[in-house]
Amino acid sequence: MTLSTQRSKGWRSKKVQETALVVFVTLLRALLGFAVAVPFFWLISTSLKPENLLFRVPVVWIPRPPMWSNYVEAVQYIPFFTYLKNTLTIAVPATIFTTLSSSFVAYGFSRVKWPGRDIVFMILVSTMMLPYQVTMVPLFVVFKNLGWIDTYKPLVVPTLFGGAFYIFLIRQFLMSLPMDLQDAARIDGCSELRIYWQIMLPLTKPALATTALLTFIGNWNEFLMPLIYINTNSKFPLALGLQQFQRQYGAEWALLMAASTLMTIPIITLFFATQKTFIRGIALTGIKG
Amino acid sequence: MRRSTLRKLAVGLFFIGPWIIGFLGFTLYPMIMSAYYSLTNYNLVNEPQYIGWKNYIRLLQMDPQFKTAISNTMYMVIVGLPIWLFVALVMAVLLNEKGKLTTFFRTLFYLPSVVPTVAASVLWMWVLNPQYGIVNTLLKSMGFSGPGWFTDPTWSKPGLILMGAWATGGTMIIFLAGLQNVPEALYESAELDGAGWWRKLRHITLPILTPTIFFNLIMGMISTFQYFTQAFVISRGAGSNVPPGGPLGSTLFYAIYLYQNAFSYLRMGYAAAMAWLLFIVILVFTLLLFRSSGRWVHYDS
Amino acid sequence: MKRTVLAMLLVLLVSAVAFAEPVKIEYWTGWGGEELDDIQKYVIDEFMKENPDIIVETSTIFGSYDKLLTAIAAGTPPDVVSAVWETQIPGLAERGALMNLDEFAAKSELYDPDDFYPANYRQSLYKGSLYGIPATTNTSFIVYNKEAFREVGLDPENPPRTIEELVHAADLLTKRDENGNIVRLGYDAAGSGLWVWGHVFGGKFFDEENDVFTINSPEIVKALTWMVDYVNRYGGMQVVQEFVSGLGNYWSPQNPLFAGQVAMAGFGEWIESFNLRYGPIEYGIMAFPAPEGGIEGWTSVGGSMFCIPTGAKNPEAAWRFIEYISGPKGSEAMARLLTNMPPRRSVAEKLVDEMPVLAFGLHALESPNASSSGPLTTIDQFFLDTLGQFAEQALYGQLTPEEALNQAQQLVQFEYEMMAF
Repeated sequence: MTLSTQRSKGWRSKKVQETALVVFVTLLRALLGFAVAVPFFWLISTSLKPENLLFRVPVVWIPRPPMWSNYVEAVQYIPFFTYLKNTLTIAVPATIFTTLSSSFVAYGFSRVKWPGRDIVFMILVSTMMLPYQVTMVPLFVVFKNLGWIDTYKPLVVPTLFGGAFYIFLIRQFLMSLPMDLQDAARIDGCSELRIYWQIMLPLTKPALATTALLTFIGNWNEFLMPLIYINTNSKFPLALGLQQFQRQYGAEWALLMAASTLMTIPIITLFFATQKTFIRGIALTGIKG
Repeated sequence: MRRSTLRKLAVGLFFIGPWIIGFLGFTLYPMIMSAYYSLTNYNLVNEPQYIGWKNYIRLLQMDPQFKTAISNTMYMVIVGLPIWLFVALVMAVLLNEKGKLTTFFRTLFYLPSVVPTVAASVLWMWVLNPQYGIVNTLLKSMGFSGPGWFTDPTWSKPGLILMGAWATGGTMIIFLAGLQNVPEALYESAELDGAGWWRKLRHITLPILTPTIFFNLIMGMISTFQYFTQAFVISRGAGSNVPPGGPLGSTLFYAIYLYQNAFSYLRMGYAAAMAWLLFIVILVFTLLLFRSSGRWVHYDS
Repeated sequence: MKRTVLAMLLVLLVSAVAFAEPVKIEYWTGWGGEELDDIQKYVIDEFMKENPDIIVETSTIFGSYDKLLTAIAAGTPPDVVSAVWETQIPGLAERGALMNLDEFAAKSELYDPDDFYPANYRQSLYKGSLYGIPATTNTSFIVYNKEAFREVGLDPENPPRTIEELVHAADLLTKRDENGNIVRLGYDAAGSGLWVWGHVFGGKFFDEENDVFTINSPEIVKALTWMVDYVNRYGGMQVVQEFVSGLGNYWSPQNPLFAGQVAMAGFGEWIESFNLRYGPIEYGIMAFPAPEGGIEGWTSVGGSMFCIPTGAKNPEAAWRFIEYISGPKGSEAMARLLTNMPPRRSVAEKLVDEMPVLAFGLHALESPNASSSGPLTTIDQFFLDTLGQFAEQALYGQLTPEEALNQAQQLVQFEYEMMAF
């Protein structure tokens, strides 16, 4: 092949290159995808095995027939639906409160210019560095004195005051919106509260959706806080309840996997339903250091 | 101060009011109290007794568990975190390129990070079971004999890192968002200059992505220093009577030892002292990272 | 007229009592699963039938026993708890977390301290006061699979009596596959723990007279050295742990003894109820074989204590529940359900003919060699965790047994002194 022929076929070789890249990228994706999928496969497969197939070498890949009854047993072995209700009792208000309070505070940090704002904002950002453990013991004492131990209040009430990370997230988003919007409204005599509620809130929907989704997932999965604050079995959320499949030696593996699957499905469904908005929300907030 | 400034101050404080109340009640006051508790012997039932710096001295001079906890935690920050960030970055870059089934793979890569940590942990206990786990079975079919993972003190942390790499989707999404902010025009002009895939990645994508990398690094570092749930669940998998942190203390992370001190031994003062030392370490690391950021983080504007 | 009024008043009074809102008491147990189902049905429900003015709300805190400490500390304790091990009584009593039961006991007709075995009675006291009452207790021994003994040519009616014989038998009973992987472990000596072997070797972990820990005493060092040597026979702790991690759920037919993955195992009287549920296998019982200078026929004694936490809302009703469940009737029912040792002599002697598995305990409980399952001090949990960690380091060969125990001794003694001041 001479130089000239190569050049004349330039457009084609570029196309070839592009196709090669697509193939290459797709292959790599498939490889990584396989690695990611294997544990999921194992989750489902194990959840459908009778106990005597769990401990067998060579390993049984797909149990035949699948033990669907594991799922029935799993929701009876622990009071699954009670725990599900408990999880929702925490996660739903916590999500609503965090989203609303964080956006409210974020408004104050972005759409109003007041002296000292940036310093206070720095304090807020730096609280993200504070490990939870520093406040863990005194908070326990505070909640104890309030009589809140073994209730959901320690998990829900603090969400009324905004979460530093989400305030930060929504503020970044609000900063990117043009200032004229509210200036016009102010001239019209709108109160700040109304500007926040009627103008800014609808505009921040993607950031709010992201916040809501992240807080909901976070609360759904939260383990340490209920571990510390909830004592009574019947008040456990799912994340804590799952531990009950673990026994003194070993665990009820199949049932545990069945219950884990059940606990994961709602979150996955939620993610599927919202992923477009979610990713856009993150992209728009333009998280940067 | 001018009247309008005063009014703005009032409006500003009105909006951030909730946060200020929360900050004072749920952060500042507990911080002060925990600083005080760290100087006491306190078992939660009786009143705290002031003992000066004894908790700190005991931690730093005569607690071998504390040293174990620090070295385990540092291992995760220095070895685990970079691996997690790298995997997340690779996933994000792959998803950002032209390829097939993008939505499918994006969902698949992200999925593990929404699996409840407790569920994921027990799943991985089983995935990495030395005898009956799928990973060792696959390794065996390829002719390797797999390690003991969570039963082996040298492989338990690599096992946790592997699991963390699987569940790094949250970080990946943030990278992906960062990648979508890269202006298409930059690529186009680079292509006109004949830049290939690697050069575009190296000279356009990565530099523009450095602020996102920095953000993920900071957030990742803070959370890795507080690494708890996975190790707590997995190390007690051997039995619910077993104290967490095994085998052989290899998964005794800082937050776990702190929790044990606080709630298993009711050594609240001791736990508070540990928490303050942790805070100081995180602070120092964050400052060091911010210092270094001038050299490698590019801000476009 | 007067009479009618009186009669009417009486009727009113009686109906007021009968229709009075029953008292609810919250009961936290460490039992779970099928065992708890049985206890609920045959003991707790029975109690409620006999005492219609009390409703017991049971919940299990199996696997999260820390919860009890935080709940008491937080002032939200249950009315009755039985997820307290005998070793926890001193620590909880010292911290003021448990109610002193002396007054209740003095007035009680059902509670009879003389009927309890001395070892059990001692455990229910702290500084001379009563803080908890056992309804069941456990002793410990080794259970072996007779079929496996026959298979390798050991005499199933003549189990090992010396520690050398134990090792010999364990070697014979250990089976490997063609790749050299263990498929059946003769006996997991490390799994029984240093607390057991330290005592069997004649050691004492705590010197009550001088109020100091003696974790690094020569007998205990010898015991740990033996455990390390034992584990190394099978390729080291790592290999053994890898095998152990694949063992099935203890409370299931996959229990390693019943699944044939171990041939001898540390156990208690509950072997009998396990055998009914998950077996049957043909099993035998032997005491932990002792070396020369060790203690023949040693056993640990202990189990859950029924206590009333400080801050309980209904201590009177709680006491009535405890009185019942630890009384002759409750204790007998519990012993039958769980095949546990009854801590009351009268009940144990009544049941032994029917439940021969109790014979070992009957004998062991009368001997002075019985000790609790942990030290009866204020820092039991810290002691047990620390001992476990350092024993593990020796088993993995990271420290010599002597180094490990010296360090454990130093830490535990220091913590003990910190607690005391």
